[in-house]
Amino acid sequence: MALRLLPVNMFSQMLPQFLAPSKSLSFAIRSPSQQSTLLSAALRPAAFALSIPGILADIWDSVLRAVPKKKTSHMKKRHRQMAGKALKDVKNLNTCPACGQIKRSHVLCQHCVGEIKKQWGRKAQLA
Amino acid sequence: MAGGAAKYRHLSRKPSHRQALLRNLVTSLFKHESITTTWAKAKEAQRLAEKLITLGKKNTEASRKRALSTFYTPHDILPKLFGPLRERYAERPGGYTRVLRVEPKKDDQAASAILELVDGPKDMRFALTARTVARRREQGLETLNELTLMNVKKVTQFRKDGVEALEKEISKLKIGKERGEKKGGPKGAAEGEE
Repeated sequence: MALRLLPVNMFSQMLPQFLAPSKSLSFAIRSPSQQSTLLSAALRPAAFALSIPGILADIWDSVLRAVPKKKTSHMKKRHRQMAGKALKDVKNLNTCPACGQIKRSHVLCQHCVGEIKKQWGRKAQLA
Repeated sequence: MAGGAAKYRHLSRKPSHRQALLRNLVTSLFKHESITTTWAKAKEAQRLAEKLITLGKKNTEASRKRALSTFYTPHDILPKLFGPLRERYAERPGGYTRVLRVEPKKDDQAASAILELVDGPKDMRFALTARTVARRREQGLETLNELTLMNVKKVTQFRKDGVEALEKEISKLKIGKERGEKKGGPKGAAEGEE
């Protein structure tokens, strides 16, 4: 009880104007229950602020703390995103029947096409 | 699938842009006989080019007007289309153009192709077939494989004096090679002396 009364005294020192009517009220009625409700009303802000961290603490441990510790580095990100996108080997190869060099199948031989175009260019120059 | 199968390639352009591109490609094709572009553009330009040659073969007033409105430089190309090209393809039942895949030319590695007028002066398949046959003969083998035989047929079937033209091209290649060796000979000797 003494412990409870102590904050009231402190409160009265802090807010004498507010406490003056309540003091008179408590004197008039003299009921301990009334005094306790008054006390709880006066203490509510402090109690509220204290109770919230208690609730938050559980969430803090389970959910809020599950965040990456470090920023994903450029290298890590590129490796992850380029996974499975490497260049494929060219296997559809055969030899050019006109020059014998290796060329891709279903595609004209680069060397021969170049030679022929050069020839056409020479012919156009002569003409 | 929503929209269904595409009837033609949109080439990532609005219709007017696409039409302008195809007109440009076709104008260049008829001017130069052969163009190198991306494969998709070549295939789309091929459609238009085939239709234009059909117009040339019809050779009516209406077809002339249609052709006139397609080319960007009609006054250079119309005489060619309604003259030599009409005669060249008179016997051929369609298939006046050819698309051949080549190694990518653009730096984005897009599939490239040669679009050419068949039996023209810049017929790549004709030139390549001639080279192939020449090489075979050089090796002392007169027989040709299935694919080369098919190519020989494709190249000579509707060409005017096709077989003779191919033989002439082959003999030219031989002469060219001999000349090259002669040119190379003295050079090599000079280097040897030093």
